[in-house]
Amino acid sequence: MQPILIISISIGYVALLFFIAWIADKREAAGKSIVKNPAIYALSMAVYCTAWTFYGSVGRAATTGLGFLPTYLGPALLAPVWWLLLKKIILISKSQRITSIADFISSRYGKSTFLGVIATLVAVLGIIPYISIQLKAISSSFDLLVGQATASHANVPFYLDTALYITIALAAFTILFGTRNLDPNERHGGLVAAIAFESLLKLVAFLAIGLFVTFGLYDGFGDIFSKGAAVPSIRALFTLESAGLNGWEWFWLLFLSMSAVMLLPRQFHVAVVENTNAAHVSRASWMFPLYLLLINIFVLPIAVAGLMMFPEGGVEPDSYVLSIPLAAGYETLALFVALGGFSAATSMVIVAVIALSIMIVNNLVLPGIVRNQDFRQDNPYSISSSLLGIRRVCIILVLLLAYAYFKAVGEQYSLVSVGLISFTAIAQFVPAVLGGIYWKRATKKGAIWGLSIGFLIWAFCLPFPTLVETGLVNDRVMAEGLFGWGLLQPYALFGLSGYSPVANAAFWSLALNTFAYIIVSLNTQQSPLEISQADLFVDIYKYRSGGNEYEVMRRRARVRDIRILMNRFLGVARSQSLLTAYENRNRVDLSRQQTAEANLINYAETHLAGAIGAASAKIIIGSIAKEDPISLEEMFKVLEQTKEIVEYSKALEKKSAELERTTLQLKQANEQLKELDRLKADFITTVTHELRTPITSIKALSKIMLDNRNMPEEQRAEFLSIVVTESERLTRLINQVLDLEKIQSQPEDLKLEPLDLAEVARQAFNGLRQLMRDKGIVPELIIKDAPVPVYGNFDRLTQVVVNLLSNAIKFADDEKGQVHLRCYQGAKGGYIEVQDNGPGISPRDQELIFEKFTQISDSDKGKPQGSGLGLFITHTIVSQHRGRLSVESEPAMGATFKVTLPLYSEKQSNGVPPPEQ
Amino acid sequence: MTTNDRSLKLISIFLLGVMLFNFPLVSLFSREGLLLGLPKLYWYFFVVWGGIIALTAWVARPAKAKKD
Repeated sequence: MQPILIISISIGYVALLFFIAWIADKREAAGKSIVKNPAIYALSMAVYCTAWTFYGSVGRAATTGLGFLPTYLGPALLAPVWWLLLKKIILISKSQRITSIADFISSRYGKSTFLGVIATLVAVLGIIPYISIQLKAISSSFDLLVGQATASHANVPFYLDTALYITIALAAFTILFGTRNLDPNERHGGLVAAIAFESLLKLVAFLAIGLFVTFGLYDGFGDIFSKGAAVPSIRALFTLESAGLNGWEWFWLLFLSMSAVMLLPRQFHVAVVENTNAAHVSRASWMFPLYLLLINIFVLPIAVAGLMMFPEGGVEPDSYVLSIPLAAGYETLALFVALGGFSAATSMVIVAVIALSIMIVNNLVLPGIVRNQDFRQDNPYSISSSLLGIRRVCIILVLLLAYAYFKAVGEQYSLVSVGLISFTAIAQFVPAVLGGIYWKRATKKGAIWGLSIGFLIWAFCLPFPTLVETGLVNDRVMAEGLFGWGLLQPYALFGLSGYSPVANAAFWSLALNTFAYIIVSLNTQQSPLEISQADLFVDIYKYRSGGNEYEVMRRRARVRDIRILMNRFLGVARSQSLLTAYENRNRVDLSRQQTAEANLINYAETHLAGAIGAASAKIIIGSIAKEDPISLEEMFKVLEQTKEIVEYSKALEKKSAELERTTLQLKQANEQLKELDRLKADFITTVTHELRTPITSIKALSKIMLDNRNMPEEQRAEFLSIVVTESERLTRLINQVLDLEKIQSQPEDLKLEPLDLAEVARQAFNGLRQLMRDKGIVPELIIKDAPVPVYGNFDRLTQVVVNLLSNAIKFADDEKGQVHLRCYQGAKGGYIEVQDNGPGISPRDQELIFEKFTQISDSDKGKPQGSGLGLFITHTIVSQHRGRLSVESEPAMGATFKVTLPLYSEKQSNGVPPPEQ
Repeated sequence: MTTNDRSLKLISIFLLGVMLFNFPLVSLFSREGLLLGLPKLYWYFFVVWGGIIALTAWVARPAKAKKD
């Protein structure tokens, strides 16, 4: 293919990008932005897929099979929690007008200049290898297309090297693209649109080559894989273990890609800085993984096809994507695919270099420039254009560094292995960022130590050995360790060997980074500004909802100075519109004010930070404002106040919960009372009913006798005897009700003392012996001589026995009545058994007889005798003695009532539990 | 679905993914042999991946698009 054709197509493509950006900018200016939607947002995030994905994945798959996947699985894994994590970072960044990942870290830790410098160095040095692989991919695809054998670029003088001209072209392109706007603070709507378009193009191109290989050259997936499976070396790629991957390597690859997708400078730039609406995150959290899935489906088939087409080697696996269509004679398709690869590489280079240049200017260059300058002099010359100049120089510098790295080392390594070096560097931001947004106690010193240690270990373990192999450093270090110390070998740091260099480096750097971050944070103090920034970052939702910003510093400045400052850094037009907006919102007239209020100073600082970074903005505002920093105590007071409010509302919540609980308890108590009331009413109804029966009968008989004076004597005697019986019954009933009342209401009156249960039985039995004999009952008392010691009240227990005996007498057989009273000591306590030979109690009735007023009606005997309270009283007394009353009976076999009482022993004489209340 | 509910669900999806995409579960499918013409591991990754995307889309769908 003619080089001129390729070059002109590339130029045409670039022109198309400019056109898209121009359209997007125009639409945005007209208020009809095309970039403010979730799909474009997700596509712009796909800048994650670079030449690494486009060419490198296939190369990686050709050597480790599905080992290329963790790079995409990591982001896919993390995407579901973007809604929490990324959204929080976006909200923080918007409120602080954060311009880059380095700015984010510097701002969180008290707008520290030093930390910003370190973070910038980590980012720039970490990303340079990554940019170099894009240069490599573009230049080698160019070589392939024009038909040059992939000559080593290292041996070509630089002025003949195509890669250098590609680098220069890219620099020019990036400058034109990224620094078109004079105002560096504005969002790059055009850039985002162009990136989204590139993402679409590279996806289409990759799917095209994938479909071509799978369905054009072969007969679908099944065909490729079954043919591949026939070759043992290819079959090995279908499993992870045979491709040399274990769980430890796998885990680190996932972890690194997870950190990269959020913290790589270009990812942070598109996902956070260029974000137009935080709500877009929720859609992007499934659209972006879907994009990744689509672009990865054909990677393994292409790799397998490449291995089968070029079995004897000689073709770099990283270039299969191009070599396959070229070898098959499809030049136009190859050109289209190369354009996809070009778009993948350029999008990464553009965004990464823009993000890095912003970082370098705001965090490295500006703090040094502005530190000792007085900006109070009114100077018509705006500094914002010179800022852009500096930024352009940075772009060129970064790209030349990347070219140098490519020239020196990049060529000997595969795309993915160099890319992973960058991922490991970026992962060093993880502790400082994650801790920064969730852990208030994290301090600036902790972040500085953690980041520095992690960075040094990374530098020693990964890029340093690549320099060794190019001969820049003595190779003895690799085998013998730094300074001859065996523990300091880059690929086996601290003696840990057996894993890949990336897994090793990631483990050591991140472990020690995190450790240092936590330990140093716990042992250092935060400055007031750090405390307030920490509070702002961690509790961003509080500030957003409440809008309660507290004044970090009491600063005073002249309105005139602020205006001059804003003019110089933001340009006159923009600063004028910002100040007018401020006047309108706060209803003030700045031209009448001499001294600026704290609000205005904060407003100016935030907007300056949007242009030049938090650290630089702090310095230049510091140069015009007289500052009385709030003392630590005051700072705490302010924080304490917000804390108090939070605590107060928490206390209120707690109180209302308590109130609810109390209400519930009251309700329950009320229910109980109602139930008791009902029982009482029932009781009274039953008692009065019981009382009325004998009274009615007495009344009736008395009346008859009163009316019939000359009633026969025998009849009168009979009536009188009934009256007496009924009166007795009445008396008994009343006595029992009184007893019950007494027993139930005053259980504390129950005086318990050690006593002999056998004696109780004997006395009760003797008292009733005559009655039983009169009724023709044969009584029998069965007791042993030995006492049965229990703990109880003599009178009450006597009442129990008497009640049971009376009951037995009442029910004993009329003709051959028998009542047995047994008292003995058993294993579980003292027992009293009262047995009769009456009609017995049916099982259904057995459950009821201990209730109040239960009377067993007997058809033979007619009206039941007794009040129905006897057994209930007995039961209550036994319960108060912690005993048990039970009945055993079968119909027509008599009944046996059994009382069980706990035994009394000398040992526990003091420890006897009080009777149940 | 409250904000808190949604957060918990998304975190659960994340944890589920971490489990499914790591050893030792991955090694269960890292077996030789093809299933319907494709390597077993290939099936496993892409099916689980698609499942996680679908779950995320369902949980993270904007409030107004919800039926309840």
